[in-house]
Amino acid sequence: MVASVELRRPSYFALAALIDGPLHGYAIVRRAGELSQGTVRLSTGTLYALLERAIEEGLVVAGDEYLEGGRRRRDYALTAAGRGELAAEARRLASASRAVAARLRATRKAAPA
Amino acid sequence: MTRESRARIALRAYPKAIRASRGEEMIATLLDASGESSGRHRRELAALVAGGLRARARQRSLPGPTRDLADGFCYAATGLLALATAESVGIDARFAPHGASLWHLLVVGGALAAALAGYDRIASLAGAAWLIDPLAVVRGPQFGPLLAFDVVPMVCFLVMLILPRRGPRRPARLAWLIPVVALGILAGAVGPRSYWFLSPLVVLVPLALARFQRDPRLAIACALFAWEVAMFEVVQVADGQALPLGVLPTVLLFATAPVVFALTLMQTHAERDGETT
Repeated sequence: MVASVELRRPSYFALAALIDGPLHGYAIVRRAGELSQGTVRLSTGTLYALLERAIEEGLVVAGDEYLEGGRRRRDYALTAAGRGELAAEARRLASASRAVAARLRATRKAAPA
Repeated sequence: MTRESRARIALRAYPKAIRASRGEEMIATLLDASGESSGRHRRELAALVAGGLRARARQRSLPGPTRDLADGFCYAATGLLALATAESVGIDARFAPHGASLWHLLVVGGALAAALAGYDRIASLAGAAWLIDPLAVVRGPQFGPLLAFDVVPMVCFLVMLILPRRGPRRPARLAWLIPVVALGILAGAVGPRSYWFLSPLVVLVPLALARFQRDPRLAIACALFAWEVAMFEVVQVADGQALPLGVLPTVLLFATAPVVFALTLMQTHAERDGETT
């Protein structure tokens, strides 16, 4: 397992897409789009680059290839290390969000109109 | 041409191993992600090509014979730049510096500084500029023979441009400029000595031989340097002089690089066989 590092947005949402269970490539693209409310649109090139890296780092495992509707698929699943990494990143983002929101609230009256 | 055949062409940007293991599912994902939109399909194709090129670059940066050879060429390029910088400093120390010589020192010294700090692509372009400038202006009728002298550095700079070393930038390595400048001042003080530039090899060759099994990169760089010395001999002959080192040493110098390259590849194969058995 690798030390916890900050995940980039596409990696964060691609890993988050696998929280509910294994998905194949296109399903990850769609789920990441939904979770990010349309802000992350993974291209095939980006998706497989980040999956390859996540597999190397032990965050994701790849299943066997199978046929679905005449197309070759392979499911990817989050490992325990991957869930841990995702949880750490979610905590980091939540903490950063809370800190900024608190500062905004504290300085609301001081801001020029 | 169908969308699938376009996707298969774009997929060729990826290394063979990735195409074999993931190619079919990548095409399936790309066709699904493209949907009905031709604009989205074009963007997907462009992203696939970009991803493939990145994967190739990443593969080249991993340890292996290609990386060792490329690193050896980069080390040789850095060594040749150090030599040229020292030579330029020596000339400026002996004679009054003028506009052209200072410009020459700035280009070659800048290239060396970039190579030391880890900016290989900048170093290779500045190094090529250093080679091209004297070729066109100074050499005149001797252009042909002296071109041979520039073959090794030019190949080294080309490899440095295409396969630069990976890793963090290291500005602290600029400290190596100090011994290079000191060597140049020393060479300038003692006057022209044809083979003074071989002096660093007294330390480097034994070190390269001692490290060869573990790390062949320095040996590759030394072999390229030997080839450059042999080229220097050939240039002397083309200039109407006898071979200063003699025929046999020159042939041996030429033979060094192919032997070192072959040993590197053989060693890698042996390691690979050892891993698979």
